[in-house]
Amino acid sequence: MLGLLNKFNHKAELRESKDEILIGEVVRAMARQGAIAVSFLANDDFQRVKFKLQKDPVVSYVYITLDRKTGTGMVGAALFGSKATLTVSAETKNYLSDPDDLIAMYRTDLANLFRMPVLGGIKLNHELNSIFATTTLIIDIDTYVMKGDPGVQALMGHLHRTIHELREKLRPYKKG
Amino acid sequence: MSQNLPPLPPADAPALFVRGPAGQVGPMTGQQLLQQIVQGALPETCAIWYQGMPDWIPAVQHPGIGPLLAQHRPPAADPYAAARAVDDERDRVFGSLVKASWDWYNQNVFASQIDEVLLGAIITCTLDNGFSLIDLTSDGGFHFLRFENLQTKARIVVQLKHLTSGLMASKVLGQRASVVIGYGERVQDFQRIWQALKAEFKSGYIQSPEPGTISVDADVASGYVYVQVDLYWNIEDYVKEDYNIEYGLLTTHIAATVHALGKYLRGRLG
Repeated sequence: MLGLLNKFNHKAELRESKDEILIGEVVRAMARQGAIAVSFLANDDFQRVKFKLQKDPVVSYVYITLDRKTGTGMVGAALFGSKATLTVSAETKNYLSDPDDLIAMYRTDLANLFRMPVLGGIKLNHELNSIFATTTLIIDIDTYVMKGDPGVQALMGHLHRTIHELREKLRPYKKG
Repeated sequence: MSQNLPPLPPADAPALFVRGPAGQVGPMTGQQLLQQIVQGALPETCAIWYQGMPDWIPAVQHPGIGPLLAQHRPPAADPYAAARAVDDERDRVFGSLVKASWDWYNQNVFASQIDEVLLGAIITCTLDNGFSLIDLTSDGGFHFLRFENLQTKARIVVQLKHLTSGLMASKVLGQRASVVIGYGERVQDFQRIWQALKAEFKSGYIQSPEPGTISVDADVASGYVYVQVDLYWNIEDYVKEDYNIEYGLLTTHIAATVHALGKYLRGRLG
């Protein structure tokens, strides 16, 4: 009886852990590409990891946020699957120090202040020394986790394409 | 008056007489006159005369010489150049202050987030050894990780607390972290879990475990029994200032600790 209960509980634990499994694979795969995880913010249904891209000519940091919208319960998972929003932000840094550049950037900051992000679209946001490009997608975690290497490869292919798109959006704004 | 002037002698013919501040000189060629004016030896307003001219006229007013002088005249001085130079110099000084601040700021950031870099490295190493991350809690200062080998169901737990966050503390004491590493296995029969619970009861009396002290913990709901050990790590052994990570050393240290804990757990439970 105890064995049966343990088995059931273990299965429930793993169902609740799919987003962590996904984030773990993201951290490892990004590290293999030279992107070092430098900051974590994580709780039950929300994980955000900041990566430092050491050799990228345009992008300094990438932020990957996984927000599990359907909760971890069995009923929710059965009804909605393991849907989550995956938000990917790329940040380019210009380290502004010329007052003339600061004035120019201030004007674009005002222009971006009221622009709202669109799902799947890319939003650009200037913050003095940094410019962010952000996109948000809805994914099904089950597509990627517990599928072995093919699942991880599919996830990384997806992330790679997304980061490439964001990089190209940021490229015109990168100075020097 | 220029309408009545005879044509200029050939440029290499010494036919020009010149009256400048030092008196009359010449005859000289047109090339020599131009050269002396350009070099500043004669003013543009010096008077010239050659055979056939009714009178002396300033060189700059001669229709054959004036345009040539204009071509060789240095550009007019920018009246704002001095102010612009001051502005550029101050911008340069301001830029150097900002850059120096960034250097300091980046050192501070590195000192503050080095524990999180280590956290990412632990995840990478442990996944490389066949485990999956199944639990992640982090508030930026305290971090908790739980891994499971989905085939064997064995688990590894890591608690990491940065003890010297901030530039000053890390410069004085080094990058120290309190690390608790645990190893767990699923235990099916009640008798063995009961044994573990008795051990957990004893472990509960340990208020502040010394390094190397192995304590026992049991999770009845999921049927896991864990053993864990308290350690202190120097994070700089694994994470360098250029963000390079010593994955090999980290993997060796985690594997050795997990190996020791696994031996202890199996020995304890029989």
